[in-house]
Formats: sequence, structure tokens, C-alpha cells
Amino acid sequence: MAARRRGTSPAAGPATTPGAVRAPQRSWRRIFDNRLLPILLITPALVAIGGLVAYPVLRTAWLSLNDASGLQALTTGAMSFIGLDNYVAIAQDPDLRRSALTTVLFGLSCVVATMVVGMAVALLLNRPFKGRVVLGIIVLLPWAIPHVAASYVWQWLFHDQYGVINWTLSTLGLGGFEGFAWFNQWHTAFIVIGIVVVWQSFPFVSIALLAGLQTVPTDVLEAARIDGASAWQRTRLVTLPMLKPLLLVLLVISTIWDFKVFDQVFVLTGGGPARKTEILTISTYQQAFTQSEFGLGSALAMVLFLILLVVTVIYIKLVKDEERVS
Amino acid sequence: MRTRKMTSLVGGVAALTLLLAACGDDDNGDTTSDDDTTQDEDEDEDDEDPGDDDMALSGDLTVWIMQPGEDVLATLEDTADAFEAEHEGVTINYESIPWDGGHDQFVTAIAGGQVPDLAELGNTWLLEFAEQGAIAPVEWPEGEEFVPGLADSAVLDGANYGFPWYAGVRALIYRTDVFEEAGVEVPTTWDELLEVGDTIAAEVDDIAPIRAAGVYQHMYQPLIWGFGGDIATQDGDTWTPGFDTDEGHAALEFFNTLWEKGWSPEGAVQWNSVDVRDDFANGGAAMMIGGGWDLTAILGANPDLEGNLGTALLPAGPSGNRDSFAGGSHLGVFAESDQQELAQAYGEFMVSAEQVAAFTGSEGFLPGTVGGVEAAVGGDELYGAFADQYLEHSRFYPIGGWWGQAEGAAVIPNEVQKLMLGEQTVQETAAAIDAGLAGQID
Repeated sequence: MAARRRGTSPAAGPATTPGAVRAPQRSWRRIFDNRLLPILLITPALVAIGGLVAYPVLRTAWLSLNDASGLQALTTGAMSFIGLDNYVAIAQDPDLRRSALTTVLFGLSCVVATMVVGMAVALLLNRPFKGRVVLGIIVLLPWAIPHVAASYVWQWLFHDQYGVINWTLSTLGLGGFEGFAWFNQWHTAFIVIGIVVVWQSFPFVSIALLAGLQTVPTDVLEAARIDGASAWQRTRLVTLPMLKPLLLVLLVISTIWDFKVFDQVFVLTGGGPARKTEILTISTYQQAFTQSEFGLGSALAMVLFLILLVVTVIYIKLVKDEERVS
Repeated sequence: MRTRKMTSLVGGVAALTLLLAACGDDDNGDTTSDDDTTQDEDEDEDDEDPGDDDMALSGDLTVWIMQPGEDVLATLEDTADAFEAEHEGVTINYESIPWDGGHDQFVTAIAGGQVPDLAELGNTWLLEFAEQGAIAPVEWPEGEEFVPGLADSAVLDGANYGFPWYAGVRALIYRTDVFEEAGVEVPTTWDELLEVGDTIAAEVDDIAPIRAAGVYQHMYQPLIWGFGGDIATQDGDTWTPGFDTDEGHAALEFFNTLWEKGWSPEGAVQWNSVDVRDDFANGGAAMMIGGGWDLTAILGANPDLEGNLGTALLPAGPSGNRDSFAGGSHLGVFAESDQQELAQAYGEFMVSAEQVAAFTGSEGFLPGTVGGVEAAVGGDELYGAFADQYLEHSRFYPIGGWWGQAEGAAVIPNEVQKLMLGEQTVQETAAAIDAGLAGQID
């Protein structure tokens, strides 16, 4: 095509479009190149996102504002608009209120545990030692196992009569664990659920942090070491600040995943005993599918969505503040 | 330099995350999707006008069966072959649906419009779906007498919504060798059962008399019938829950006594019928409440118990009643199916005497027709007790769509679990159950 003349054409802007000063036909081409072509290229992705993400979210939001009970609501559209009544019902129902609170507390605990364990393993894998590659692969395995299969295995491990955990603990002398029913009380049940969730979540965090750790320039660390900083100080004052953007991303992702946990809770306790380990995802499932209360179920889903939105906004604000300060 | 590396790293991680999140979500997706897509192909092949009576029956029929297993499926295939031989141009396609989550699979299928033509529906589900308009009324074949305990659960407002196919009813299963060792007779009332239990606990080592299980609702819900009460009584259009009554309190009190005897491990608060059965098969208990299918499964799991098992009618309560829950399945035709006539015809065929006998015999269930029951197990030493229990002492739970949802919400098991965990008294439990049921009735 025409040779590019950088900076010499008076009409050439930052985008040095060839032939910008040529005859009018060329401008169609430019419009096509600058406006139409990008849109055409994005359209398939937009359709996919719109259809698979935007539509369901908007539809759920719409359903949450309606009294959509019974299957007729979905098959024939028989529902009545009730505004925020579903949300009021959630706020007034003690079981659902507890479900929301449990989701937040349990989710945050899992996030903290996942980040701590993930960071520890990443720091370990960052050091050169024999068998490091093998360990790195083994660390990935819990993440690769399907949630349902893993949950059943762990449920069996924590079985009160035949489980290995109780057997090990009582053999080690902790007699109180003989026949101990982990799933009878909500706090012990959550310990088990937490173990399974963290066990399956930390590998991703570890690998991502490991990648991050390897970008920390060794000369800065070396300089710090020469200046007399201890290993912990080096980690806290050099490595972690450099990893802040990555840490933030992982925190947000972990939070979203851990708040949305469903499979493990469903298999291990089903929300029981007596709904005490019920979290928002389980409540949504219960209301929508076993109770056919699609409006209330949608409202519960929207509540979870809003909680996650708030959490994400808080995180992002924290980062913005950090950036401003530094 | 560093920030650019960091940005590209973060960007890379973010992109990877999105990719993984997408993959992760796929894993968490519904298991129904596979069934539904094969559904679709079958439905699309049917172009017939259902109202055309002149046409002989033909076309494809999609039938959903609950968790049949290989042997039962083979029997059902024989039924399909027999029907296809009589009606040329008809093809029957079976699909297997697991019990666990089955109810929700139906809900999703109905909501998504991807229904089969004919399906096996648990009898606590049929009316729930019928009330919501998803099931088409059917006409029962002339001259067929269906067992009342089962048939009741297919009738709503005078219309029949399914073909009663088979039932399972629970009776008392016990270890004859343990009874011999302890020198006890088979209990005929619940009080006698407690006495027998005490003797066994004292005389025989290493085996518990009977377990109390928190999620085995079909064992403790019928207790209220034995004590003279009812789960809920109908008065015209309104239902009144019946646990907060003297009879209800007595029933819960009895169950609590069974639990407080200490014959069950702590974890039994979470046990369902399968846990109880596995425990019994492993020699954990001397008695259990179970059905013919439980017996079959126990003998399969532990052949050593052969010859050491006995069955008896369910013990009676103070009111003399010994009714057991008639749980079973109906064959329902879906209102949105294109093959109403064919589905109705095949449903009738499946519940006809010889077809149903072959099917139920292999599983330890009982046919839905009176004649079928007598043909199947009448007089059998072990399984005969179930037939008697079924024909004479069986009952269904409240007949109304709301009961299916009450079961789904586990209203009664939740409160019973709290009772077992010592968090509330019997009176509080009864009141809570009634409140929960009342909430469902609305």
C-alpha cells in the first residue's frame, strides 16, 4: 500500500493511518477499520457474554422482584410483581438471615486460611530443593479432583464410626474422639467443610503466588539481605509489597469462589443438621428447587451477588488508597 | 520495567483466572443437562398430532425410570420388547434418573420444558407436580384393582394422575439368631419392642437392639399413626397439622426414649435409611424397620446372614394401629408430552399383571395391583410379611401437593434432629413441626 510517512502529513494524528489525506473513498475504509471491524470482531464474544451472563443475571434480578412460586411461574409466566417483598422476607426469616451471616463468616475464614496456606506453600516451593518439581505437581492434585468426589472421600474420612481421622486421633491418645460425630454440631461440621474447601482452593493460590514470587527481582532481595534484613523482614517488606496487585486479584477471586461454595457443603452436610450449616448457595437451591419458590430463590442469589459486589468494591478501594499513599 | 512485568503478570493471571472460572463453573453445572439433550432429540422426532385417533400407536416414547440398575433395566427392556412387538412403529427409550436429586431434576425438566413422555414418579412427588399442572390425568384400566394405600396417592380432586406401579412398605426385620440367644419373642407392640431391646442389650454382647436414626423419616413419621394420631387432617380445603396433640407428643416421646436408651452412636443423628441398613448388614443392630428392598440389599451385602433373618409386621402402638408408610412410584404422563396416547397406553401396559410382577420380583418391591401382590409374594416366608403389611396395614402421607414440598424442606427431620441433639423438648419439637407444616400448607 502507500508508504507511511511518519509525522510529515498534516492530517496525520496519533494513529498514523496510511492515506489519511487521500480521496473520500479512503475514509470509508478508515471508518471500517476503526469502527466497524472492531465491533464485528467483538460481536461473537458480546453475544456469548450477553446470552450466557447478562441475560441470566438480569432475569434472576427480575424474578427476585416477583412472586414466582410453583412451576407454573416458569412454564406459563404466571407471576406477580411484588417489588422488594422477597428481600424483606429474607431479612425477616431467621434461618435465611443466619444463612447470609454464615456465608460471610465462613467465606472469610476460608479466604484467610486459603491465602495463608497458599502463601506458605508458594514460599516453600520458591526455594530450590530436591523434589521441588514433584511437590509442585502433587500440590496441584487437590484442586484437580472434582468437588463432589473429594467431598465424599472426606466425609468418609471423618465418619464417626469408621473414619480414619477419629481412629488416628483416638489412637494418639485423644480419647474424646472415639465415635465423635463431626457433623452433628455446626462448628465441627464447618471445620470439616473448611478443610475440604481450603484443601481444594489453596493450590491455585500457591501456583499463582509462586509465579509472582519468581518475578521479584533477586537483586533487591540480595540488597536487603546484605543490609541485614531477616528472612521474615525480607518477605514482609520487600516481597509482599511487590506482590500486592497479585495478592489483591487472588483475594478477590478467592472471596468470590469461597462465598459461592456449594458442592462441598451440599455433599458433606446438605445444610444440616437442621439447617445449621446452610449457606446462601444451599438456601438458593433449597428455595428454588425443593420448594419451587423461584422468586425467593432468585432474591437469595441476588443477595449473594450484592455481598460479593460490596466485598469486591472494598478490596478495590483498599488498593486505590494504597496506590495513592505510595 | 518492573511495573510492566507486573501488569503483564497480573493481566496473565486475570486471563487465566477467567478461563479457569469458566471451566470451574462447568464442573458445577447441573447434571440434568446431559439427560435433557438426549431428550430433545427424541421429542423432535415426534411430529404426530396427538388428537388423531385413527392412527395406530407409533412413534418414539421417552420413559424416565428411577435408578433401575442393570437387572431391573433388563426386565424393563423385556417389557418394552413385548409392547413393541404388538405395536409396530413404536420405539421405547428408557433413561435412568438417580433418586438423589431426582425431584429437583424433574423440577428443572418441567421448568425448562424438556419433559419425558412417561416417567416413574415417587408417590410423594406426583401430586405436587400434578397440582402445578405438569402431569396429565389418565384413565385407569377397567377391572384393575389397585392397592388403596398406594392408589390414594395418585388421586387429586377425583382425577387420577398416574398409574400406581409399585410400592415398598416397611415392616420389622430382625435377627433370629440374636433373638434366640437372648431368649425373646418377636415384639408386637412398641412397648414390647422396648422390653425386647432391654433384654437383648443385657444378654447379647456387641450388638445393639435397634438404632434411632435422625434422617430416616419413614421410620419415625408413621409412629404417630401407631399412637392414634395423624400427620395432618383434612377438613374440606384446609389441613391441620397433628403433631402438637397428645398422640403426637406420645409418638415423639417414644422415639426420644429409643434414642436416649443409648443404643445408637452419636452419628446416628445424621443417618438415613441406607445407613441404618448398612449398619444392620454389618451386624450392628438386631432389629430394624425396613422394606423388602432393604432385605434384598442386606442379603446381598452380607450373605452370612442368610437363614438368620426374620420379618414381622410393624409393632402396633397403644391405639392398636400398625400402619406403615406405603412408599412407591407411579407412572405419570406429562402434560407437555407430544405422545399422550402412546404414553397412556404404555403406562397401562407396564402396570398390567405379568409385566409388573416380573419387575417387582427382582427388586423386593410390591406391585400396585392387589392381584399382583398376591401373585408376587403371597405366602413367602420372608417377604410375605411385607405383603400383609402392604395390603392391610399401610397408609399414605397427607394427600396434597404441599406434602411433597414439606418433605423436600425436611420439616419433620430437622425438628427431630434438634430433639435428638437435646436442643428442644418433645413439646417444643411438636409445636415446631406443626408450625413448619403449617408454613408449607399455605
